[in-house]
Amino acid sequence: MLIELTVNGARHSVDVPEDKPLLWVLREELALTGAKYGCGIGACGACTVLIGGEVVRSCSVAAKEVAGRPIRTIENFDNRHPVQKAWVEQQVPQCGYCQPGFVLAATAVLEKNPKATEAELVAALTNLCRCGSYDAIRAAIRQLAESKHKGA
Amino acid sequence: MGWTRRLFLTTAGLAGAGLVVGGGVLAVRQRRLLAFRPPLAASQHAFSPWLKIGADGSVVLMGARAEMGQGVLAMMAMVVAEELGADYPAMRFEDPPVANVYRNVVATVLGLPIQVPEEGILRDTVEVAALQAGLQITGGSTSTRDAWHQLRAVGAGAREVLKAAAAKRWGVAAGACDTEGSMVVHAPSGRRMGFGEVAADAAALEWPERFAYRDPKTWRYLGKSPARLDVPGKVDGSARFGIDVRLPGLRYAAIRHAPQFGARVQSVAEKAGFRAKGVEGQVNLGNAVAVVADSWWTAKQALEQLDIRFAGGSEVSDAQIFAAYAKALDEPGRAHAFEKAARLAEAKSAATKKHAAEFRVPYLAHACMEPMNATARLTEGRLEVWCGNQAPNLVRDLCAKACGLAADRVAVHTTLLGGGFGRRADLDYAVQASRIAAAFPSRPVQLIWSREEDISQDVYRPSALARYEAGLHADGSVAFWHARSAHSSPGRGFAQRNIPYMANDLPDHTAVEAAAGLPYALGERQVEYARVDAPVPVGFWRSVNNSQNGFFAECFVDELAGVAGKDPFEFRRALLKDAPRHRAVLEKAAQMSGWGRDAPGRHKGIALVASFGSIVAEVVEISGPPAADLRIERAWVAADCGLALDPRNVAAQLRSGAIYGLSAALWGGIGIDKGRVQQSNFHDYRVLALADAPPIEVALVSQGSPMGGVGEIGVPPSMPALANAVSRATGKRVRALPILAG
Ligand code: FES
Ligand code: FES
Repeated sequence: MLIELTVNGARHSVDVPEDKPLLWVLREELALTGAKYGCGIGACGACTVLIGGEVVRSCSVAAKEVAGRPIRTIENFDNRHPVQKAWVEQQVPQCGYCQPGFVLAATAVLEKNPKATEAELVAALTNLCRCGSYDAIRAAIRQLAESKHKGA
Repeated sequence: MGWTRRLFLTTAGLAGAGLVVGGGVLAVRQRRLLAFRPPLAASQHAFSPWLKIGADGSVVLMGARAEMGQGVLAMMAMVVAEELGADYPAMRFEDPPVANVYRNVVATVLGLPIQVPEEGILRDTVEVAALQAGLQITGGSTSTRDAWHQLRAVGAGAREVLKAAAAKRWGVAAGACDTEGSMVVHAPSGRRMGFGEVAADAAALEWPERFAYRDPKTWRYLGKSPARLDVPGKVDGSARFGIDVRLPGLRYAAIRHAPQFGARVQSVAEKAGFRAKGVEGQVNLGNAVAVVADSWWTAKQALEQLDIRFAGGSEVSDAQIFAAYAKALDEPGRAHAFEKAARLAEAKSAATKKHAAEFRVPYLAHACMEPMNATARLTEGRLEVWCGNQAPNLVRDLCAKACGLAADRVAVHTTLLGGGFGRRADLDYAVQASRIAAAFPSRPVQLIWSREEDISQDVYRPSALARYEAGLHADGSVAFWHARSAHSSPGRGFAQRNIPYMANDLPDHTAVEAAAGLPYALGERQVEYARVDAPVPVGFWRSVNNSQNGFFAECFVDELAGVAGKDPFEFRRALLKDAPRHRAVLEKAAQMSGWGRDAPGRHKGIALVASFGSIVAEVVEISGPPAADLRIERAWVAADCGLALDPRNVAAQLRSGAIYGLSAALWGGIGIDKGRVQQSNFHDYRVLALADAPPIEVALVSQGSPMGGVGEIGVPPSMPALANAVSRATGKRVRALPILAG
């Protein structure tokens, strides 16, 4: 079926099978490979994208269901975003495969609540990192939480 | 004198008899190796097979190791940049072709069944042979050691010719010049010249016979942990993993393996719905069927529309496998003694207190975050393969064989790896992609395993059974230590699948790593291992046999402390009276953790495991009784890995290893029933998430030790440290993993 997707501000019309998950449309049709396949069952968060400010695990939503809605992927962020800056400063990634998902999940929390605390961020980031970069993620989160408080 | 320098001397035509290792055959081999030049773009110049400098001043490292999260490429660049005086942040990597010169000399030497001395003719001979016959492998926690061995000389040698070329232009003495920021500098006159400007002249010069390494006190990058070069791309999504390879006309393949080990495809029938839009066909791979389509999703859906019958296959279950382990340990003379006590029987009867325990651990999957995948294209008898892998020369050879091609008809492109942990040294997925591509000539095909296939078709860390027995003298010292274990051999499994000519029935000395050679004073000690082959494939799982043996030995020493009525830290400390390096590491971990002072409801466990040439002690603190509300609250890691070239990354790797081990100890278990794996995805093969993961404090204990490995060493002590904490909390010894069922 033909659907219209709005990804990172650009409109794309794609012809896809009825039930094709957004993840595979992004990766295959639009060559946006920043969202990763990790589990396909909504359990790992590697495929995270933002839709209208909400965190969505794109492996588990059919593309047609989000047609027309504003979708943002990691490609929308160019390492000048505060979350990404914190991630680079804390040298968070190891293999890096999970990191776009973490960055987007943290971004969504902070967009909704710029004063989100470290604990709130930790609770919201249910993604998995098999490299165990969790201490570095916590350091980046702490840096973000602290800078928000300072700015307030 | 390192081989690298000798190689340079050879190339430079200075190969006087005394300078070439062994002369004769070896000299010929060396010259053949050195005929190799990395692929050069216009106006690029080669400075050894590893390094290129462009007329534009760009400094490019041939990144012949797999970047799988351990930061290896950045580390290699740091080593070269330091000696070369290059501007490290501006350096780039290129994926080199498969070639002998890139083989991992240190891994190959360590993998030999003999001890090779640090210096001398045996060393020389083995190292040159390693370059020819070794593996271009990223594994065994050897990359940094190998880079330190090989690449430091590359940086220093290139620096000297760059200085010489610039000095000649200026008419000054090369000795008065230095390099920094990718420039040659003549301090007395204040003159500077970019590397690019002298690269052509310098590349034509002979490498000097002798050169000095920079004084570590002047290091700009090493020991300073500058920002890793691979990090920004991993944060903005531009990093390219195997699964991200995009080629014109790319097709995708989904695969279903026979669910039972050893089963074969008997028949494949297409159901009515199979030929949906985009589906291009199916390929019978013998033990699996792949469907090719214009989308992976479509291919995966179409797999459901195939009626696949499998035949044969194992009916084995865990109970039978463990019974086979027990039988092997019961049978006199079946196990091989790798460490043999001269007077075991006497020691046993002389001991005043004796203690015995039986331990078991399950199979474990790697669960790399990026499922197995590879892309291949066969065009007019030439095969190209793109994938994350830990052994490109094996990818080349195995894929060539599978497609009936000569090895030189195969090009391998190694991408970033979304985790390796040993899994990506086994290359079934790359071979499958090549065979599928061969069925669709000229068309690139990307094979992606679903997570379910990834978990159920792994090469597993073996399950294992161990029986430990020890005795104490009246004064509390250990009279004897008798350790016996039975499991399959990961090394043999790997060899059979990937390098069959190396598979053998010799005693596998790696099976007793972290079981034999313990640093403790254990009196009469005997360590035995019985290899039991099972239908379940086993392979290299991060830290390999250290992962189960560290658990057995460190839980048992903890039990023995209890029998002796001693604190587990103090007991170990006393046993380390002749191992001051190990003792210092143990003491550091205990001191950091505030050992001996537990907050109410908190319990600590400690463990010490030396592996890959490094020593690691870990303390894990838990809260809650060991039921569903068991929580790992904190952990402390002390390590001596010798000189840490990138301390921040070393700490990250230690944490990474600890988390990997804690996930396994708490929840990890692959169960086998009727020849099938019972787990399929992260819901039933659970791993620690951010909220479950303890903060981990790391300390590097520097005591002038030789450089050891880093990428795996954090894993082994984490499992017994957790188990020992749980045992303390409950008063009931943990003797089997995982501690909790998923
Ligand atoms: S791939 Fe979507 S949550 Fe794992
Ligand atoms: S960095 Fe490798 S999975 Fe998170």
